[in-house]
Amino acid sequence: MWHQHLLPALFPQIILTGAAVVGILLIALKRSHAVISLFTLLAFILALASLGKIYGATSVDGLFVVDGLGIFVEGLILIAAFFITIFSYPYFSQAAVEREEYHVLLLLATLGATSMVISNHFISFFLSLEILSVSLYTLIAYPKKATASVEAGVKYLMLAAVSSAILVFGFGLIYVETGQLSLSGLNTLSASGGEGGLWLTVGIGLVIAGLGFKLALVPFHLWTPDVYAGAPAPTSAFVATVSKGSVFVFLWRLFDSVGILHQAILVIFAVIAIASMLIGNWLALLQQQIKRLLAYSSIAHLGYLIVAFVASGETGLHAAVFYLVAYFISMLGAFGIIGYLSEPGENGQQERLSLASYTGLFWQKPGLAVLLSLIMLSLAGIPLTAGFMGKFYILLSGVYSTQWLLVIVLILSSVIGLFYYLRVVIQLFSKPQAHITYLASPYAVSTGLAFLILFILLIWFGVAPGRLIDQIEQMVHVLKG
Amino acid sequence: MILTWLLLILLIGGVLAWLFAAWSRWIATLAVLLDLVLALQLWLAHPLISVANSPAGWIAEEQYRWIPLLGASLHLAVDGFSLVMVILTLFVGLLCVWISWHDPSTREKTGFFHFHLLWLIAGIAGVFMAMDLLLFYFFWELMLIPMFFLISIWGGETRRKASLKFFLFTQFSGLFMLIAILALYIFHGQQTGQYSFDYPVLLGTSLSRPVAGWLLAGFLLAFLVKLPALPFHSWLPDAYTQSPTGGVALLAGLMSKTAAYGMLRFALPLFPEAARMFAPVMIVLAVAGILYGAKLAYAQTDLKRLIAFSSFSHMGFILLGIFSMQELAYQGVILEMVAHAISISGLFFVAGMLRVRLGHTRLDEMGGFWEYMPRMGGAAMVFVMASLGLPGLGNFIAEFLILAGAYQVHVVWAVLASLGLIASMIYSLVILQKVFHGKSKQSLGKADMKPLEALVMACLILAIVWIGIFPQRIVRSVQPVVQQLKQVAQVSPSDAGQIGLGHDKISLK
Repeated sequence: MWHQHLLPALFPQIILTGAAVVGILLIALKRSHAVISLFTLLAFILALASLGKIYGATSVDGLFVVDGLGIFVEGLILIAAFFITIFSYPYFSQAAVEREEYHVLLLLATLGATSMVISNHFISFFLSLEILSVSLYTLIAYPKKATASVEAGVKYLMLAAVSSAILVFGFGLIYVETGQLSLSGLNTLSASGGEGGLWLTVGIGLVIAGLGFKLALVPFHLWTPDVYAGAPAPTSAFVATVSKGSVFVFLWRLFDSVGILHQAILVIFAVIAIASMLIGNWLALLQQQIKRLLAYSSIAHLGYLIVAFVASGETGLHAAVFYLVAYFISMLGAFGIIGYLSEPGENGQQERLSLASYTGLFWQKPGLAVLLSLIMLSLAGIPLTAGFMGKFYILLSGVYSTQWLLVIVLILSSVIGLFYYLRVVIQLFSKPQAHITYLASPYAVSTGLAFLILFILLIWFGVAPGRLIDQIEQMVHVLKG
Repeated sequence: MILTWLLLILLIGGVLAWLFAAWSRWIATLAVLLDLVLALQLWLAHPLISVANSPAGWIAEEQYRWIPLLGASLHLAVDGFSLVMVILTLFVGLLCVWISWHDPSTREKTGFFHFHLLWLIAGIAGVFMAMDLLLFYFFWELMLIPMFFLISIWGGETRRKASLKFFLFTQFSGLFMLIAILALYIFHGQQTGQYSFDYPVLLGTSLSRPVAGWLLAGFLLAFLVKLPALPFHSWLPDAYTQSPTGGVALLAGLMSKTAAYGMLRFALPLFPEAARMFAPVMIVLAVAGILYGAKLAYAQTDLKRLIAFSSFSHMGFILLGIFSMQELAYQGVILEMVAHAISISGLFFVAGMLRVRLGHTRLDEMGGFWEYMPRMGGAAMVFVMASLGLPGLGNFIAEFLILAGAYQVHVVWAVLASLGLIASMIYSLVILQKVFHGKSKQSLGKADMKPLEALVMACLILAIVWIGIFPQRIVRSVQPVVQQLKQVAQVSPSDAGQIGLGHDKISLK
């Protein structure tokens, strides 16, 4: 069927697909890192602009549903991808490898993520997921001479493939029981009060496990630290933000539809949330490497998001979306700074991994140190930063739905979290024993501007979040069907 | 607009001080001085009104949109009580800027130091002015960050541990207050359909007994940690001793008072019935804190630690006064908040000046300093006397009122608490004896106070004498609050919902 009027709803996806093809042609014509970077940035801006052309929520053949939630998170993903492209340019500019294809893969991965957040069908979801994952394998292992990156890429490949298999099996079992592959179909079924059979239960369990892998929730989190630490910093930022954010949106859609077995699902997720918050923060406490620390902390943050998920309802959804915004800003900034401070080495960029190598950053690069401290405070949920408002909103949704246990665990674990975030901050401000030099990057202007924007957003959403909350309230809603 | 300006001047001044590091001391002085003048003007313009003309009883009130969707607004307001505390904050803050002028530890990153100092003052002033519970929590947490940096960058040898411990304790307890605020917000919203964080709106919420108890517990946990009261004081000695001089005066003098302020302003009026239920426990904690703190103070071998524990002991009096729920005691508590802020700042300033000259504050290596610095010795004597409760100085009248108030309801505990006065005499005199009297163990040459330091001490001495002789001026401006609290204490359980009207009843007098 050809519905011309539905076309604008899929403009971002069409633009990204087109851009990927044109990008490859551009590379074939002439290898130029600068051109392809600019082209990628342009594509993201175009895709972002095309979001404004979407009027009202539409369902596309039952495969996609372009509603407020989808559009909002698509925008968020495109902006994040835009920042990641800015961070990638200086990062790869000194590398000896062919670096142009990195941007094409970035476009494709973003295509996968943006289509995932509007997926309303197991098939469309699975296709988006594979586009995203396959691009990510390469993005992670991109510095092919660096053993750590290649190892991380292979690890991600194995686990992502296994988890995809589990997911598909779960979808299959749900299909066996219900005869439905689309979320709207499941929704109608659950609305009519259908009783869930054994296979449905098993199927949903498998789907939870599969999505849990993608979101790195405890107990499916083991791949995260290695992948974060091994991947080049811009890719780590992508894995931490875009990839997790998009899967989270699908998770929301799926369980918003599957009302069957509701109570049991909530219990499972409550347990997962508690485990993720406590174990993520606890393991982060033991880390001496900043990327591993961020990896474990991101496990905990996904745990916080699951609290909002369990709280459910309008408040929960808005809290989760607000939190995603705050989390995106913080993680982008953190990995951006790590990438920015890396230095060219034999096998690609050498990143500063150990916390100790950031000692006294403040005394040499005060601006970066202040931004990184603010990011840490934001992740810890301290006022003046977006993270505080995010955590406040999640607590509000938790108290509102009287999830007292989750709320108390959130508090306890965030105090554990505070401990290691503050340790990083103290490290940044303490005087270094030995002299550590930070090379000036030749591409400071664009990156500096990006950091400035992140800084402003971080403070703005922390001090005056009224506008953003209004926007989310007006815009974000789920269209079923 | 005046209240917003009070905050903005400090915040902008902080940023300017950071940008123009060479001028940061002057910028900081100017900003705080300007604020102090504005606040004093506001106070003097409303000298004798028991309750201002505005219906809610505020001297000045401002409300702006913040997060309309969640019912949170930037609601700043001051009555006599708040205003006195704001003026006190600015007064001590100004002296903190001056006392740090010659402190060599703040030579590095001077601009950044003054940025944090000014933002800390702004945070504390914000706590005293916020009348929206979310905003209150916002400022409550906001003042932690500059304090954390002040300790962790410009602090003593074990500053890392001290700053971490301080931040973790206060943040952890603060989160429970946030939960209590959220729960109150939701309960009120469900009852009335009006979701708001506004303090006057929430005042009338009627809650079942267990719910009110839990919510009060959330608030009290935050306040007792910040005060600190007996079982929650383990962060205190580290944080107090490791802070730079300018920071510790604000920490001991004013941040601890924000906790007392929070109890008087929020915890008691919001949950009167639960507060009466908790009172016996709190009084036991208070008296135990007074005696235990005094004992610990006497046992210290470090001057700053001794002063820190003396402060802890005095906080017991404040807690005792608050939960005695007597008019006299409330007046005493508020006077003690002011007097203690001044006397403890004086003592910590003396310790800080000694630290600059000696490089340490170990008591066993001091002695006989009167010979070298008679003026500092004289100033120290005034604050030691204030701390031990010499009549004529502020602390005496305050502690007397608290004990008199407590005696009316809890005779035994009041008698035990007054033993604390004797204990405070012992440990306070130890300061004077070990530091300034006796044989000098080392020659210091000309080490007496510099003119600016002398000016700081003179200001503090004048203030503490003024409070001791004319306590009426402060008592009068806080009288409406004391009356309101008195009604809270006496109201019968069935009237619990009517407390919000307290202000109107007073205005008829």
